[in-house]
Amino acid sequence: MSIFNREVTENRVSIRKIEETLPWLLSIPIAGLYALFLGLPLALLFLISMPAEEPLANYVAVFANPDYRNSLLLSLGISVFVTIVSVILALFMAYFIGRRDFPGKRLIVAIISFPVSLPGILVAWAIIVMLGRSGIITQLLVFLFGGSAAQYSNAFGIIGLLVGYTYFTLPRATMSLISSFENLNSDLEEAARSLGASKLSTFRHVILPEIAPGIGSAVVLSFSVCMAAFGTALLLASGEVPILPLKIYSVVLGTYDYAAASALAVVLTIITVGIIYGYTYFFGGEVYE
Amino acid sequence: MSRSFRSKLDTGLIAFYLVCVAILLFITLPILTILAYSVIGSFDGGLIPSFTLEHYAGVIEANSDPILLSLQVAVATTILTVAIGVPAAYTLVRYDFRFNSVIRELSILPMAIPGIVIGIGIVRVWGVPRLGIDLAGSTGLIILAHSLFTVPFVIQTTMSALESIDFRRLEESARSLGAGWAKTFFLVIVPHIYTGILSGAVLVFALSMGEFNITFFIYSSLNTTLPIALFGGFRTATVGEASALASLFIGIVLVSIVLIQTISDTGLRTSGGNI
Repeated sequence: MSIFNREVTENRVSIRKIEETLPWLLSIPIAGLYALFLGLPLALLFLISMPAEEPLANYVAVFANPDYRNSLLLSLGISVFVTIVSVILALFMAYFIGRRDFPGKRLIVAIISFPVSLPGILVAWAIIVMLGRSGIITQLLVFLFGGSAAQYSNAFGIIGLLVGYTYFTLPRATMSLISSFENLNSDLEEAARSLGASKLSTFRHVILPEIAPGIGSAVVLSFSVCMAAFGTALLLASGEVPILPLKIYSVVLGTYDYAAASALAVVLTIITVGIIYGYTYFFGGEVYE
Repeated sequence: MSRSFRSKLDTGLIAFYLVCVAILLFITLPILTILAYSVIGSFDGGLIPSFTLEHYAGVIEANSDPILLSLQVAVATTILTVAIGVPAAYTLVRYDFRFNSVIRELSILPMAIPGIVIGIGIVRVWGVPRLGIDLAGSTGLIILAHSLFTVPFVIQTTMSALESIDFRRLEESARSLGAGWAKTFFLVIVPHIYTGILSGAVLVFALSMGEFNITFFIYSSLNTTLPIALFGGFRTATVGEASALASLFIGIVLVSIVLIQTISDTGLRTSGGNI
């Protein structure tokens, strides 16, 4: 009897042990995936970028070589511009969705969230059918003002790039702002208005501080998406606008100079990862919900 | 309140609505244009263009291999990410251990690192046989790369689903009734969080179907996915054919958004993907 009891207890203990270790065992595959397909590749790029003879030469080149430096500055400039435009437009849209109740709201949300899961090269095609030579806006301008389609065609180059990036980041920025507006206490806004504050100053002093975290994540998300954009740019601006990802690609393809390309890739990674984690670390904000 | 003030207010409101309408037009017009171009026969002739499905027939026939491969890759990626992402999310939410918050932060890294960087890195490591495994140009490598890029979405949606239920109480009552870990997990926990898992899975499917930035560096001519074919098609095909190919994608995205909205009441809130 006592032996039987001990066996049962021992069995219980071993089952308990399996149950405690099972979740850990189940997490091994994902750890392997991250290690082999993210950690290892990144480590290798980092190693390639620092050859033994001159470990920092490639990084100095990123900032000293005008070709590379201009790509970096161009990418930063485009990303800042698109981020500002997207977040300002998103504020309007998110206020509309978050603060107003109207029939068909779900449809509006669905429309706004549509480009979020569109592939980047499809966004490029969307820009081409709008602004390209046979694009409908180009055709409309030709119809209205005469002239040739080539005159008005803007798809390939900096304008197409800016519109394409905005098309992609505006919905993201809107999605991160909607919940901020939904959680906003409407009493505050009404109180400020009834005390005589103008719409603008109510927004500036009452609404803005409340939705600041939402704006923060919208800014970080838009900026990092623009910095990292590749497929859209490859179709719209290859050879026209040498943004950093296109520069990395042309260095790899044209010169096989993997050391220089890796240094550029590491700098790009530090910028996007740095801004996302920096925002979480310093402001406690979540970029991805 | 003076009359002029009131009319000023109204102008502001009208301007506000105009901006919102303009944004909605900006989002929908390109999509509608692509759909229209995909069924329009030819421009010359009368004002009313002719309707045709020729473009669809043409591109589906010419791209049947990429379409099939992309569907297979997306299904495999979805299964793999759910199989490895859900247990990881459960471990992160359920157990309090050192570095838990660090690992949570690290889990979103594939979303934060540019696709081109991951793509070049993967091709440098796995473009040649390593550890006795030759993954170069294989479909398996594409599936693994897609899984890396999309698994954070499964982790995020599963974690928030887990955090929204009182899973400890559920677990305790299941345990006290004698259910083991596996039984508790699959029969008690999963039914409570399956909407989160499902919307994550649908998102993964759509993202895998559309992934370009990483795939571009690791595909071989024998393993061309639909976005890679799309990239070539946009450069060489006619406007109608390229639009038909693009419309197939719009259909896939549309179905997945409708699915996510039906499954979860919050709709699509996770932001991600890359361009």
